[in-house]
Amino acid sequence: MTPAHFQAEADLHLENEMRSRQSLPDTSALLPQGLDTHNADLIMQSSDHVPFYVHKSILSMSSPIFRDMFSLPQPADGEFVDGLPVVRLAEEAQVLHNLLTMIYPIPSVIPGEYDKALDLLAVSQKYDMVAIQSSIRAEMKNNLRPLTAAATFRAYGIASAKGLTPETEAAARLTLDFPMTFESMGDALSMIGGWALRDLIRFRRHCRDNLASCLESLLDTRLPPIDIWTGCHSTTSDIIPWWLQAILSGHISDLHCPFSKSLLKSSSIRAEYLRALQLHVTQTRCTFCSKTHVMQGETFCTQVEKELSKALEMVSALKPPFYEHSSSLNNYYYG
Amino acid sequence: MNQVSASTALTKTLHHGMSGSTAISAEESASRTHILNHPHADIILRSRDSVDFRVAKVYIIDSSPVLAELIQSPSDHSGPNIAVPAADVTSLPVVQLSDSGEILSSLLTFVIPVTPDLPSTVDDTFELLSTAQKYEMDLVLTRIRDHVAKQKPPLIRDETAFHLYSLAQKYGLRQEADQAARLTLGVPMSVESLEAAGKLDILSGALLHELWRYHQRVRDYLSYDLAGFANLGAGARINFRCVKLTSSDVPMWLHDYIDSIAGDPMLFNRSKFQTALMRHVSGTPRICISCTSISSKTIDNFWTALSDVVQHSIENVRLCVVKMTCNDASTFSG
Repeated sequence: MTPAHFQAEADLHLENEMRSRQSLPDTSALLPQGLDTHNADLIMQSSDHVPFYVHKSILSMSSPIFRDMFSLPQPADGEFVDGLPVVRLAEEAQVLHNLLTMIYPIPSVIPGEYDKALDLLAVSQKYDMVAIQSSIRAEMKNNLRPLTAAATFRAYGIASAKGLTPETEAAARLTLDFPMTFESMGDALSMIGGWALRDLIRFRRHCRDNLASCLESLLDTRLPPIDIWTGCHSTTSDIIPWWLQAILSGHISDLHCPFSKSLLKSSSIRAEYLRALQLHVTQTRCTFCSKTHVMQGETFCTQVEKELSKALEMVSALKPPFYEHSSSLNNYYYG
Repeated sequence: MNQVSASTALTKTLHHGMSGSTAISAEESASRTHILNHPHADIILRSRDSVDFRVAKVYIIDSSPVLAELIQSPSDHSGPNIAVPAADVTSLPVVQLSDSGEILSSLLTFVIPVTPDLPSTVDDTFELLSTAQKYEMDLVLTRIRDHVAKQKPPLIRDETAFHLYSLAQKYGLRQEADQAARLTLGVPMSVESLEAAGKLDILSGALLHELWRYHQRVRDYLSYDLAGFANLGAGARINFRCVKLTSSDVPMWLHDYIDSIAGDPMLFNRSKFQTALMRHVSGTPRICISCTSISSKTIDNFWTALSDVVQHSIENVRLCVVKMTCNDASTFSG
């Protein structure tokens, strides 16, 4: 063989090797840092064909589903690569990557985006990884929440589709902070299934009804906490001050459009109260309202906030109305 | 249900009519016998609920390239829903289909020269259309659609539009989905108003989102086409002596009216037009006597021209068929 032959053969070998390298997906960025793949006895392959070399024992400890799977004999026609059995999973590489960081003793990576964290949570629920679910939930509770209307409705869609019950409930509550319009939901609407959409509408409607009843009962001057306000000189003696009436009545009126506007948040009522009171006192020099505020304003605000929160908490996004706190039905109206 | 009892049950259904009517004509009775047991039968189509239809395969081969390929191919050929098992006791080859006996029975009335018979419910009618579409029976599909179009009251009408839009999407029937979606243009597309009208219970988020996008696209098309009609076309120049004309010599009130249709297609309505005219002739700042004397022929011509533009605009907008998921499908099951 001539030197030219050797060179040609070497070039061909190099070209083949380069082609071979090009055809393999670059998985290095997806493999968790610090993951020890020595002595791996299984390849988990993601839906986008990324292989993860893992240990059955570690997976078995984290998931009874995997434990049961590995207790079964390997099928005769099973796939092997590098002498290791291959298990093909329905999840994408990024989710599996995050999941492995939670299973192995390496720094865990929980996605910063709420949607992706929900995907990870759903996978851990699918494989019955109880401890990992708790860790993800704790992280989500403390550090993550959808910020925009579209992200919130999307989170509801994902959570409901994947059967993540607490997250469905939580996301449904968060949607109340935004209008439920086609514009605000955008593409996220297409992620909400039929039943989930009906549940969300029912939930919003019942929250609206409860808030309306609550606000109406707060306007009853014979009952606390509003009774402390009868006596303002700008109104007749048995009626509450107009500025306070305007706040509560305004919100009742807004509740006629529960979808085109966000629902009243209990936490926002205090700021409105203070603004309106300040304006009233400045304009009318009303000593009664000023004094009442100093003496009992804080208690009044706290009670109103509490009542409004209670009105919302009584409604569940997941249960039909007739199961909801039947003892409270006398106080609040369900439409 | 075993094969015999299913056949018997269907035969009874066929002979007593799908809608429960016991009085059927001799012609209908003959038709139904032809479907179940054609005198020149050389193949059996078996439904998923084990109803056998003994038919002459020439009809099937002529109607459907999909079934033709299945029937003519060797017996080991099988699709995801269709299998060709060995011949049964009658010695005729059997083609196992994934459709119900009721749908196949109706389908065959459009394939075999007998009296066409639509299923008794709208849902089944859409399933029938979908089945014909699945088997690529183009001519049969046209026949069924012609038959559906003759129904009184029409199948797709204002009251049924939302339900049938969702059904058409479920079955991938683009033509019916377009028809139904067009009828929803008369309904304000807001969550608030749809909820009040009880329409949200019918649709999944994906279907609702596509319908909303369709409404948006219609408005965009209308806005463009109507602007052209009002500013460039001659159709809107109905009175040069109006007290206030646009630079295109179109009465300003008419220009505003045309413009408003893009924002709210419900305003495309003869009475809304008359209201706009009345408001103008009797309104501020000046009463326009000239516009009171616009001839009815001029108005009719204008309305015809406007209708053409609106219709053309709407027909240019096509719906996207939404890929259904399990969550979407759940909308229709309960």
